[in-house]
Amino acid sequence: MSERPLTIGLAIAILAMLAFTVVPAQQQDTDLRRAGPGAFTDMDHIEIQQLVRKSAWALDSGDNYGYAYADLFTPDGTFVGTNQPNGRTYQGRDQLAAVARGGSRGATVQSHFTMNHVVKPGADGRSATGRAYVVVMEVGVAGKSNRVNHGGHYDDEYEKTSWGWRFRRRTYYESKADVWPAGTPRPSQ
Amino acid sequence: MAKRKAATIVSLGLIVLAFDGTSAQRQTSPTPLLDVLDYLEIEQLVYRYGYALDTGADNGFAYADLYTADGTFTGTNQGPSGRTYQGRERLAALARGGKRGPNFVSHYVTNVVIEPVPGGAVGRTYVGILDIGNGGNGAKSRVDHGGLYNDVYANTPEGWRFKSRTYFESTSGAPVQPPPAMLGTPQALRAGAASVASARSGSRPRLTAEDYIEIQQLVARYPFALDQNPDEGLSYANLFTPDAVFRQPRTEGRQNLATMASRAPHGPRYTRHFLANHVIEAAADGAVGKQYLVAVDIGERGQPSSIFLGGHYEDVYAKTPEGWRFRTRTFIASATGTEAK
Repeated sequence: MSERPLTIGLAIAILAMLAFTVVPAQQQDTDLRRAGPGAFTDMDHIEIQQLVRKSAWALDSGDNYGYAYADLFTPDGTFVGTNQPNGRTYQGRDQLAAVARGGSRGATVQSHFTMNHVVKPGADGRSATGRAYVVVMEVGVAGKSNRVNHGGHYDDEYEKTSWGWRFRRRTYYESKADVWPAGTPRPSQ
Repeated sequence: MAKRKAATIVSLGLIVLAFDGTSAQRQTSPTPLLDVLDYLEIEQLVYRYGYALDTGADNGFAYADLYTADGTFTGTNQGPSGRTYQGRERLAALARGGKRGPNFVSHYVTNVVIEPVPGGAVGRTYVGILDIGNGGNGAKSRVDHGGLYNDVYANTPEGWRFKSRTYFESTSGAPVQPPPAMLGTPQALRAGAASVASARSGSRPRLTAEDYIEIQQLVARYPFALDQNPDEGLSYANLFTPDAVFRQPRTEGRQNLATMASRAPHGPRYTRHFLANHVIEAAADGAVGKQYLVAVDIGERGQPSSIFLGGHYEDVYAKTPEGWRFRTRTFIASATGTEAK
């Protein structure tokens, strides 16, 4: 036999390796979603979407004395508000519940509008990360005009528990523009 | 030795029984009653609502046809005890009243939570009702009002529809009082819900759940790539096909798109482009979609925030070997008008 089959085999092997290494980020996410048992499924994606949306409801309503919000986190789950003095961290069920019952809350308080939710599956099918924008509005607040209060984005870590997907860690960053094009008016800052 | 072996077998048996007990417990707990496509299709219904109401398309019937034949809308903020509209004619009349226009955007819907119930599904959503100035003019835009929708959905031969939708205005809220008895564990899934039969048939082009999710993700990445722009516009440009066209300003090709993105304000923590109501539809050679945009200048260091721009994007998506990408993306500024679509 000549060396040719070996060369072709080698070429195929190299191509196969390249195919697995040079894959854009979105394609990688897709592959993880489609992989075998224990992998990240479309329903995992839906459940993480639902988790993020429920967190806005739980935070604004203060349901269950704030524990509806706390129970969206793992038992050792953490929320970090980088906009608060020294970037305050809240860990554990009681601290998180206290966050969610701070201030005025109620079933018809709509303040945290989350959008642009990006989900990245982890390699093990039981963890994921995500990011979402949030605009915090004041609507229907007695004595105040309806307005955007503030906003920014969340960086999230999710974990699949026996209760379903939960936040392991959520970090809030207030919006801040570092680069502003010359010659265009910058809003008040 | 034999005794030890027997003990081991008994122990193993107990462990197996313990596991069996767990799985039996799991089997008695309610199974998921909506599949992935149900969630996605209900979400699509919810997102279509804004367009149908704000455009008044088809003389209001595009809105009315989002409901079942006996569907109801209740505005609890209308009159002293609220007002209910039932039936196609009354719902259509509702959707053609007030400020409307083919390109008008006002109802921004987010935080859509969907749950299965016997015979269908229920849901709740936030809605921010913005008054966007003509031409998308931020200076003439404001947050008009907003609140929540409580929904009941029904799966009909035509797809998911609103059986009822009730609007509640957002209020001030009050300090949270401790409940009489605190509930310690996460809420269990709703018991006794029945499986929901799906009505998916016909020969029109269809998208899989994966397609929907990947297109959703493409669009969700867009604001991050534009506002945070970590790599001189590369991530932004790579959301498009190589021959893509972005309009306003018309920009073609990835290099030009990257340059355009880099000229926009950005920073690792910058958030400006908020997208809502992402409707996705299958097309012969891919998919098309649209979303509402409100660009908000978030006040830094406690300064007031303001709306910069409002309108909607119209997209054509292409499925490439790299995944779904924008083939065209066109921004259309909000404008009122009486002309029905």
